[in-house]
Amino acid sequence: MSVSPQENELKRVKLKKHPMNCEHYELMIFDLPFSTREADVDTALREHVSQCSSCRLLLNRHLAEMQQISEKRRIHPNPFLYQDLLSRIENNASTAKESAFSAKRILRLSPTLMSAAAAIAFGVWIGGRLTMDIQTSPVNTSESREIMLSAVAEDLHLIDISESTLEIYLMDNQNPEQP
Amino acid sequence: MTEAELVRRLKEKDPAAWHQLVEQHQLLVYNVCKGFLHNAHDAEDLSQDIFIEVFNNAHKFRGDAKISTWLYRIAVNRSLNFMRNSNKRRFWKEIDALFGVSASQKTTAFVPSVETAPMETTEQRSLLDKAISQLPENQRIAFTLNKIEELSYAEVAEIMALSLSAIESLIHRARQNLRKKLKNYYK
Repeated sequence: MSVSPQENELKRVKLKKHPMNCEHYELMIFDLPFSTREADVDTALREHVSQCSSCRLLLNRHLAEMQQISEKRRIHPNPFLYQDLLSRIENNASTAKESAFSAKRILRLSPTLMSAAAAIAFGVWIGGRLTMDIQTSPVNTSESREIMLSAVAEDLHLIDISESTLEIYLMDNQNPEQP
Repeated sequence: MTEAELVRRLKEKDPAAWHQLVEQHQLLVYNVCKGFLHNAHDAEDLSQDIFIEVFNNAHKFRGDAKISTWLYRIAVNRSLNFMRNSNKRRFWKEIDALFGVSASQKTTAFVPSVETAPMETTEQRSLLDKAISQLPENQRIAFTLNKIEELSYAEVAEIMALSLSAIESLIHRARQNLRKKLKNYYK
């Protein structure tokens, strides 16, 4: 990151107005890029820290911390990264192919699967009907039984009528026979 | 190979172009990931994921921005997502611990993370590092890209899809927050 000479000049002018204003310099310290080393520090800031022990301590600690972070950054590329990536991409492709193959197999088997499903559905339907018949049969029996009972009752009633008719007939014809 | 040609050949999945992209930009991607995750293994894995994502989505790259800007954007977003997922995993781990489900009872895949990784992979972090990670997300991204990656305000604005003044404001607030946090610790 490069700062133009005009920007540097502006900063200097701004800071000259507050030569001992530590807040300005403290913010300036936290504005330093992490790759900054002591020699790269801005002249105005260097002048200030030469007079202010508090800011000097802050600058030194901050430079040390920044250097520590910068040193942790990798500077040598991993020579095997490209090969690792290639093998991962190939693995991903073969996995995708396998999943596509299994999907294709399912699709190819679909007529068989559909027939099996239809057979199962038909079986369930037949079974259901049968079960329903078994379940409804007592109702039918009771209905026919009722019909039979009513028929018997009717028959009995007829008998009753015939009996009563016979009785009446006998009673009617009994008197003339008995002198 | 010019950048436009590189982009065209990347879209055609030309192996030579891919090799060049990986060689040229792997440090950029790795260092951004490591800057956010503070874990070498996680950064390595995430870098690979990012390059594979780039490989799979190269056709979506419009070419409006530089390849490096595109890679920075992906790396920052993926790192933040990784951290959020780590936080979620940690949350559920704490919930499990609360209800007495020990880690050995659960047969989950090993996923190294910022919080759970052993000491060998998670680095001892400096005060400055910790203070940066405590900054609000946008301030942290802007500050990291500008001060550690040393990108200009304009580049940071492009990566974060914000205006230049917004970036200036974010970095200024980040500096103020760091000053507040670190001033007393340093002295």
